[in-house]
Amino acid sequence: MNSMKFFNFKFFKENCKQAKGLIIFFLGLLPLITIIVLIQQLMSQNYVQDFQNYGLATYFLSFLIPVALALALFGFVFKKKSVDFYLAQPLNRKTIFLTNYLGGLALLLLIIIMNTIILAVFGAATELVLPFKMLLDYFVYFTVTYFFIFSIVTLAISLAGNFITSLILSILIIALVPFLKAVNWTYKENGNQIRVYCNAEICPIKNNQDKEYHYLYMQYDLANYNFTTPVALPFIADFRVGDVVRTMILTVIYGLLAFMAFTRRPMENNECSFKNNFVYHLVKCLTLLPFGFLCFSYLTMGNYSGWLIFLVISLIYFLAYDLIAQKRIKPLPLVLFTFIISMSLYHGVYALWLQTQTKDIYMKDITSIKINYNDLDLVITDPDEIQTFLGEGLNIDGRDYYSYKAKIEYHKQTYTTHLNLPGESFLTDYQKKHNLKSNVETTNYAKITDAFVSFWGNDLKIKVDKKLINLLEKNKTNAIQEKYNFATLELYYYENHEFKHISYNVGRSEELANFVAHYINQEFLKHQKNFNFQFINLYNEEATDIYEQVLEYFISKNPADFLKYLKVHQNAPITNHKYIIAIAEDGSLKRTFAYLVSDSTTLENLYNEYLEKYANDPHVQELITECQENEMGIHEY
Amino acid sequence: MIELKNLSKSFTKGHDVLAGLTCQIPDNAIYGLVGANGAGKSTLLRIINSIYRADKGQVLIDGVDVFDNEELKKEMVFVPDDLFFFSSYSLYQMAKFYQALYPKFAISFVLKEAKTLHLDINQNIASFSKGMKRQCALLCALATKAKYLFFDETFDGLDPVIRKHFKNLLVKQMMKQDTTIIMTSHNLRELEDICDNLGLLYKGKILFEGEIASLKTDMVKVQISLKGDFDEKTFADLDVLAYKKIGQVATLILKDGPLAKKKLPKLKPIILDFLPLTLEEMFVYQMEALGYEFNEVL
Repeated sequence: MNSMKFFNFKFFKENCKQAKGLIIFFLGLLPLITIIVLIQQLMSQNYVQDFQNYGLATYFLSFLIPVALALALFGFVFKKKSVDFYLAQPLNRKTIFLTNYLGGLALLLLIIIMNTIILAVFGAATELVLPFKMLLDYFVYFTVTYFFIFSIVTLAISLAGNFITSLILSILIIALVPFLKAVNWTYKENGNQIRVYCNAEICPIKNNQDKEYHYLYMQYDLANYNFTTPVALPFIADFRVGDVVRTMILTVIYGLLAFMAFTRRPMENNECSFKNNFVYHLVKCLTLLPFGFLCFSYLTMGNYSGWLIFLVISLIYFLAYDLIAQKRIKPLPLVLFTFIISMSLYHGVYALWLQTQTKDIYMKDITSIKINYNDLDLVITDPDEIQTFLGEGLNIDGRDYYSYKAKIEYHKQTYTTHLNLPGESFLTDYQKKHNLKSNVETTNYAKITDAFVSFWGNDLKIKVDKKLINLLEKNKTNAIQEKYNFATLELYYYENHEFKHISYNVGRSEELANFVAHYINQEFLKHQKNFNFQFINLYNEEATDIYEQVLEYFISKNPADFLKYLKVHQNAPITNHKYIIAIAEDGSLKRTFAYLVSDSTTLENLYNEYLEKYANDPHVQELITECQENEMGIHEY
Repeated sequence: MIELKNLSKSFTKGHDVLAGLTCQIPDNAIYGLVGANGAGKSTLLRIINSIYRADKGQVLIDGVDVFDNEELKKEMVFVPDDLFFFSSYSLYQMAKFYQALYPKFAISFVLKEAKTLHLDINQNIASFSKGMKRQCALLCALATKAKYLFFDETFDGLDPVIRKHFKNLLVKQMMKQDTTIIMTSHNLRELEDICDNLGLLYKGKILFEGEIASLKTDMVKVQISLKGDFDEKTFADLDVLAYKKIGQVATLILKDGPLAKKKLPKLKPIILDFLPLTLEEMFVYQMEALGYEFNEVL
């Protein structure tokens, strides 16, 4: 009676033992690269990144690790010797497949888990913002990606007879859909147009013979083709739950197909390409797809010499394919025949498929225009305003304009296009007119998880606690007061698989401004031991009676007095707009820290004390003279 | 008992490697499978060991289908002609691999025999000679204590001393437990001193098979000289497979050995010698009787 075991742990253990070098390498490689990337992000103060940025190394290694692992576990089918050895063991094919397949998945899972833990540790121990939800997205996204590629390569190995053919087949399966999608998008993206017919007073350009109607051309994007996998090539796709689920389903399907292919595989099919000639030629012709597209592109551009050159290159490739895959050249008539048939077919298919479209729509029948501005969706439904928006888009000659992505709804169809609108104030005015609230005013600040303030070249992480949230919530509708407008808080929370970001000017509230100023100053004082005061820089915000160069000189001679002054005044409230920024570099971190001297009057007293102390210092006199001659000492911003 | 029922296998259209092969291999036998290059010997062994799937037919062991049967395969071990070892593995590590899969694997046997054969168990097998690699493969196979051992031209490349040593090991194993051994070769002389059963594979079928002992006792080679003239007709009442006379001495190959031993002395021969037949001679005359040219077959 056949064994019903699915997994033979001893066999898996032995497989791991004999491939341990490779496994250890992969277990170490990705975490190492990830750590390097994280340290780089930390050093560059890129604290907030989407998981795609953190996962760039993981993404690119998805084309190496699962591929190499699949080859290590299943590549024995390519050689007669190893086939004899493995299949003669007291294991049935199902056990061999399931042990290697599930074991491979487990190893990949381990790699992703290790990497996720590293990200979590960095998130917990440094300023890098790595919320749990993002870590979960990273984990799910890349686990699915790695499983997906592993399953595809396993399927390819189970079908093919040698390494090269299995690689070609894997690339075909992985890349075919993204390639076709990219072709479709690239080719049609700037080709599809809508002709928006409108009244003469709105559309001054007379485009046709009809006196009543004029029209403007607008290019529109393709309908969103959502069926994609995380392996979007050549970039990491966004996290879309639908895509992830689809990829998981595909992974299961490929896994099942691989299982069937492996258990039914004629094991004498090794050291060759495909046993079945038809399948061999089919795969070979499919690899000609990108060549066919390139040839077709040249043809449609009217570049006949380019078309011919590429045709010749394609033919050379077609001939070389047999040499690489089967180590022999097929009869030339057969090669030429299949080449001509394939290329003709592709030219025909591309000609039919890649046709750009022009659609006619009437402005009066447009039901809405949706524009995303400042993280808010503006939905314009009033017909007059629709006409204004579209009309403004035409009158851009000689004016500053911004291009906004817009969705035009017409007869229940949505066209994604771009509207050129004059200046940012156009939309801001629209917002005000309709009492539309900005994202600062509409955000629920209880969701905020991370806050940063960028102050004079340094991003400081501010602890998000109840006090800060209350301050933000309380003052969100306030107007910005100029005297407190010295910094902007960058606030973040992770939702729907991406970071939401709000820029909140501290000038909305005296209390908030002081809160942030004190925070900034405390950070400065924390690092003062690592400052070299020889290189301190001062900047005045407003005119004062302090010569900066002179004060810098004083501080370099006697930093203690200055530090003492700073410590005493670190909690002094901002009373006016006259403040001085002191900037110093932390030598060990190579980061600058700034101190906001809120009360310049008191600093002037310190300055005068210094003047008295160093009255006889000739260098001081020189500096004062120099400043007076050049009217320096006062930097105006 | 191993039963091969109507096995067929082809790799390319129109060319059958095995064509309806039917055969029974008794238990506790050392069965030699002989045939020319490309006769299908290795393919047959691979089908029995579930490496290849037969296009038609079945392989049964004690009535149970062998294909992909894990439990049965624990009692089977196959040593192919082209050996495989994990790269950078030593004999010890290979033995550990087998031990993980074969429940009765005796690693002590490997260690003991390796010492006898002066094989360093910790040295990388890749650095061994061809003969030493074969010894490693044989040791691992014997150590599995499997009931069914399959050797595909495995004893090629072994020197006579080592070959004798392994033969003794095989015999010892057979004395301790039920063991059936099937080995292939294209060299009859090599099989002769190991096997007790032989089968000849030709054009995808077993052309001829049987116990060597009975083959040998059935057939007999005689050198005889009689007084006076004599020719082949003198021996008409005996089943003569071959007759050759040089001078007054004739050499006969007779199918029925016991009958010959009864009747020939009655002719009052001057010379009467019963000579041993080699396996090759036996096969030659059997196949000629079946209408085949020996050189065509082997």
